[in-house]
Amino acid sequence: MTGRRVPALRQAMVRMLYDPAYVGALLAGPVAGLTEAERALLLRVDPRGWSTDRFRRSRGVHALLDEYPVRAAILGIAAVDAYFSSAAFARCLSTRGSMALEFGPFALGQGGGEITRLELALARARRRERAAGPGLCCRPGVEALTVSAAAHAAWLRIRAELGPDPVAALVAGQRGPRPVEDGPQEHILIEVDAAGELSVGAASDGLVALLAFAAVPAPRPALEAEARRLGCDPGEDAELVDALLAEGLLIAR
Amino acid sequence: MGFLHRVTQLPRLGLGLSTEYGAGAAPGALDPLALRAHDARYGGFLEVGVELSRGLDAQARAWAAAGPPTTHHFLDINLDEPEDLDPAWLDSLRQAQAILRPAWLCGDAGMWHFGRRDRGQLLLLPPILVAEQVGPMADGIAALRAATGLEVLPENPPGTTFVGDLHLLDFFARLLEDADTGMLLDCAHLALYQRLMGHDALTGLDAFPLDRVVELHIAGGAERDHEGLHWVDDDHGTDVLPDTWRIADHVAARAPNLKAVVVECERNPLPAVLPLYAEVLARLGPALGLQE
Repeated sequence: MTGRRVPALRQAMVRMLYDPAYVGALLAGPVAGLTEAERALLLRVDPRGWSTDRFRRSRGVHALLDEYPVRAAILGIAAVDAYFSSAAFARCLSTRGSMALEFGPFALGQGGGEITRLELALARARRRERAAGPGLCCRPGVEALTVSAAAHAAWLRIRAELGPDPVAALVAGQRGPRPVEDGPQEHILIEVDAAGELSVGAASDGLVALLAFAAVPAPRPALEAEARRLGCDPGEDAELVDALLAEGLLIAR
Repeated sequence: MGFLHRVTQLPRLGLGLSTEYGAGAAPGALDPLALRAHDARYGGFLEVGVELSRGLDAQARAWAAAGPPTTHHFLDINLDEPEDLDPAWLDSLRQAQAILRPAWLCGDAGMWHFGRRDRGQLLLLPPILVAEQVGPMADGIAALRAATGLEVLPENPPGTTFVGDLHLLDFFARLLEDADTGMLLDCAHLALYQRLMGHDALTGLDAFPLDRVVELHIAGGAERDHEGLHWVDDDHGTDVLPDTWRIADHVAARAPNLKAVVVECERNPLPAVLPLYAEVLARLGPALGLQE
């Protein structure tokens, strides 16, 4: 009866549903994260039962292609599929994570580059989330970031080429070239509207830097100090914060 | 007040049908109000499967506006994860509750999502059938009941991988006792579990507290083969397996607090489901106070 942790077992079960290689490893011997008592429970199940849904992993890949279509066009679908056999996926399970948000750092580690940073920011905007805590912060659904102008242009072009159903285009084999990522930087603002539509537009470097600072709630004096550090004159800092609050780019908690 | 007293105050809903978001939009799918118009005994209530992030579809809203009873079948909560009862989800639940005015909440007591609730992360896995799973899940049921003021009836989920050293019915007997609640017993799910584990369909029912069974589900299933593994796909068709009938007949005859039976057949056309409803009425109607 001892040594059986339900969360650990559930995480292992999900991995077994998505990753035949993990099933094989578990059948072969001890695996990280499970006690032998826990592994013994899993071994009592007919291993064929884990793969009766032949399309489960494909649906997971589909969900990621929806959020990272241009990144997939550049690096290929197999690089997305690899996520489900990765430590990053296991971490998503053990930390109550978001698959799409965890995929971003995983893809950056694979050489996803600026395009991945941009699509990760889009995924964040879709989820309209902010860290908890009092103070002023960027409105959930607004993301500010600085990326290479060439990468941004490539993202716009490849995304347009993928058309209205990017997943279908990717499955059909459509690809895009890896963009040049050095050169001038561009400051962009991503916003999601009430209907869930995303817009991506250019913004000033100061505004993007200030909103990026406000990704985590901060006291108003800290935000005004950051505005001054970014170039506001005394007095202008408070006016800027007031203006951003009035515009709805910042919210008070 | 214990559940066996509280259950006397629950309404008897009779025979009903189920739906979930978008199910009625498929060509030829069952229209709940049309079934009720055809025979009010068949459409006594609507069990609405709800994933709160998607909301309620037009069919569910139309039924609620017309006034017949409903139950709310959750599709998006891991009962053993306290984080799932977050304020935003509870607020959405209360909004749905205001529209549906459900007689109770019910739903599979399993794993509805991995990680947090997010797109692409929904699934349904059975609970882990070990003693350690009972307490956290019972706590979640009690917390949801306290938050909504409604009874919360856990359902035995389907699956092809049942992990744990307890029989499914032993697990649920412990859960019902610890959570002091009643059960939605899905006869088709139980039948596929028993078959998968090599048990007779009625194994474990003799020791099960049938006085806690409030609702039954009846549904068709399709036999499948996967690499030599024979399993049953809970496809909600109209071909009910003999084991499902055996379980339903056995339980209905011995469940004094049975209030409702749902025939899960939401994606089938009206003419195709009428013979099934007639058979359910003939077999289980007396237990619900319904006449053929």
